[in-house]
Amino acid sequence: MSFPLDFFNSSFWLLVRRVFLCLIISESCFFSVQVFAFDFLDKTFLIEFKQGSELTDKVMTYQAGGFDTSGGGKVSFQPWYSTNWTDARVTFMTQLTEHVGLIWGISSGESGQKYTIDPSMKVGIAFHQVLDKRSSISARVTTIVGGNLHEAPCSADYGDIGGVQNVNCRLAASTLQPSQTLQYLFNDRPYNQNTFWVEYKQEFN
Amino acid sequence: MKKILPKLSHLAILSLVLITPSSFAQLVNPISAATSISVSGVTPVAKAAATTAPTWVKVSPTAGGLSTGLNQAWMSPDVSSAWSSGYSGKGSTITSIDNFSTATSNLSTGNVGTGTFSLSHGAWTAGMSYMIAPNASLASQDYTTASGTLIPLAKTGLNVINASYAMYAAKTYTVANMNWSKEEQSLISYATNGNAIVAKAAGNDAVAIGAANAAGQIDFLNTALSTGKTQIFVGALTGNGTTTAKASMQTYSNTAGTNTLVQAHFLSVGVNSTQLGGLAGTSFAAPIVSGYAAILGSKFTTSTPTSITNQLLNTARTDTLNNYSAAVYGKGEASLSRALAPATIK
Repeated sequence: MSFPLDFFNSSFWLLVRRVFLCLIISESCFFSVQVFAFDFLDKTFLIEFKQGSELTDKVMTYQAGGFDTSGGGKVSFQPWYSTNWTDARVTFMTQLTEHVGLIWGISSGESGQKYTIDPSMKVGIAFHQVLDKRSSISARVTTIVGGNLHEAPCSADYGDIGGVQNVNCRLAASTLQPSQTLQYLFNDRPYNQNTFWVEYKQEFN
Repeated sequence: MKKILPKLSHLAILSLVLITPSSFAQLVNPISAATSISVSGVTPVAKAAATTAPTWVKVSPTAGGLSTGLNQAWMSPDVSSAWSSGYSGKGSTITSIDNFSTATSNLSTGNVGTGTFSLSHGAWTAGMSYMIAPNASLASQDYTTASGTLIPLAKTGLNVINASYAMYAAKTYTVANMNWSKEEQSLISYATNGNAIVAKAAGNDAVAIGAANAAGQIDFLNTALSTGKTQIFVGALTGNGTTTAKASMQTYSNTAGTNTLVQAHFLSVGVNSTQLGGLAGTSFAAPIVSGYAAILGSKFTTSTPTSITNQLLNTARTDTLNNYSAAVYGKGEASLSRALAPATIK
């Protein structure tokens, strides 16, 4: 097994090199690039389609919250922490060599009145090697770029006792000083931003 | 502050009273289920400068074994919701003016959820306010020994004074006849000028604030406080009201009455003697409002006592009370959650 050599001689990198060369040489190589593109796609498999994430779940838990205003009006968090489109992710794996695959994907992100989950890109490498008739080893490493959760503050009017202040919407009616609630605004990275997975499989008689 | 001197027309009566001081004024311990009303005759006249050092002492957080941080049955659900942020009264000071004597006659047995104890009246009231606002600073002044001294105020943060006592005199007098001690002078001054919030127990005579009780006595401290900015008279409800299980005024509790100035400064809170291990009386209502004020003071650190007083009064609920009327309930049932909330938010 020669991972680095296999990888850089893989069909993926051959395609990248050909595209690069075509860009600087001429359009006549477009046809050959297209052939390699089809080859590339032939070895690409959809491995994940998912709507929602841990960050989506975290935001959803606050939809049911709310408080009474000083005048007895009802404030519901539902409009602030709901969305018309839940973050959706598609992930593919393209087989580069007999042992190595490229993991790649994107997510759409999502947003509500008071929060945003950024779109993201996922890249990674998968490796699989059969050791003998009954054992094999697999490894996978991925990282997500983007996909952060951000929360916007509210403007709260406390009247004579406190005036108009920027405040964490969810904590506007808490005992915390309004300025102190801002440190609790969401600012989270994706839960599975960097993953490393190894599996050794051994079959017994 | 200028001493209050009796008017010329009342001199004859005053002379008579001086002979029988026990009939001039009485300090009354509010009702406790464990004891009957105790009355002691005291002449509330500050004849000279204070002869004793101020007894303004910090109350130990573990006084009497009371502990904090636990949501108790007698507390409104608003309190535990407010604690969830872990920030309850920090920067505010609650000063309890009460009887802290450990003489047997002043001890009452009760249980506020942390065990049964036999404590002085002052220890109970100070302890309850501390349980509501566990991060507030606590202080005390014993009116039995230090009435000749001004009530000191903390230099920073909100000052709240809890006054779970009364100053009685015969109804034939007027507030102008009262020769207040320095203690009451300062209390009245703070409320008049808005220097501190005064949470005053409404009283347990089942009469309107300012009216004479069955014995023909009037709590003139209530009367003197009626025209201030930052006093809150606190009545006792049968429990913490909700829109589906409304509360009523306890039969013993004084009410707001027809005086609109008093109505505008009257709140009620739940005092369920079963949940308090037998403690009953508006004495145990005032500390709850004291605690609420301290919590507000820790959130709105630049707000004045007047603004915080008005916030508590203006956010009171009437929809949690049976047959609400201002003459009974004043502004209504105190609501900590609404007092902490904004008027509008976007």
